[in-house]
Amino acid sequence: MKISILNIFKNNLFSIKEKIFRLAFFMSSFSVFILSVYAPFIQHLNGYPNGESVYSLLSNLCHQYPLRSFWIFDRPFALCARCTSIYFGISFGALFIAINKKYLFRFFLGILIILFIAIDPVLQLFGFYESTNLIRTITGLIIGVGFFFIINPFNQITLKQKEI
Amino acid sequence: MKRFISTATLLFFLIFSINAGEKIKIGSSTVLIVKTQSAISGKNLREGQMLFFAVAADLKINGKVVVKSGAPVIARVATIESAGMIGQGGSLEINFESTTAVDGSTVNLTGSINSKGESSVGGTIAVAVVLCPLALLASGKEGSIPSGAQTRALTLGETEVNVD
Repeated sequence: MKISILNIFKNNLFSIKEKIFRLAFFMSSFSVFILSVYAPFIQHLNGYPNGESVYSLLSNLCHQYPLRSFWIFDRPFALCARCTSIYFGISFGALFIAINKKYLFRFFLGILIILFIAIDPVLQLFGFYESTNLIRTITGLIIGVGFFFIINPFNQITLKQKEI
Repeated sequence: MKRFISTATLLFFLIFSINAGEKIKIGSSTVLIVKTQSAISGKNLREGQMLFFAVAADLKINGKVVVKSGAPVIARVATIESAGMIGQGGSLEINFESTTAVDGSTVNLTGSINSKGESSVGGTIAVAVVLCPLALLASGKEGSIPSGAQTRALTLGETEVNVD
């Protein structure tokens, strides 16, 4: 198995359809990531209640616990550290990660990654221990990439052949 | 006599410095982390009811603690909708009003925490049509907030706090 870090725009390994799919996923997930940073930023610049609508909007995606979030300008992001990393991980995966394996393999690999990494939030949920923002960030990034393995339906079996 | 004057002067400055403390201003829209102390359910609440939350982390300004972790936060139930028949979920909104600074002064707050109970209208109708019309009497879930849930509250206006 070969995991490649590529730039989808600078090579011909992906079909046009896959490029569009990846770009769409990158834009949607990256915009969520940007919004989570935008909310504290705009509130700092323009004062309360600016940014509250973004906090409210993203509250549908995340618990937004401030102690589990990154802070900027003395205000928490509109997503917790794990969710911020998940969306960043999805956008990173969409733009840069490819595996030369069939979809079914990637699907189960993604499930396996998510199940393994989910140990951290599950243990925390049941109160066994308190995670740190660093661990949340790392696990979030891996979950994001794993999630993209699952949702990307395109077969990348040709990746190796095309490289040759 | 000289010795007496110098001792008295020293004592005066010592007492003055102990009593004076330092005045720190908490600016408007400063973020405070607030958490629930126990689980809250919309079932046992009514509109306008007062509730107590707690400050989840010290609020520090210029390295000095101005609001201690654990300080009580007064809140009030703003809106409450009970869960209804046909699986309709309830909702709950609680507004923060004030907390107490380290010197005992009141810090006015704004911000809210809300919850929507799970609604199962579709499922209830399906069960009622297929199995038993009495299922229409089943109600959804009440709005509830788990114990330890965190959220942001922002200070309203500026408050001067005496810090030792």
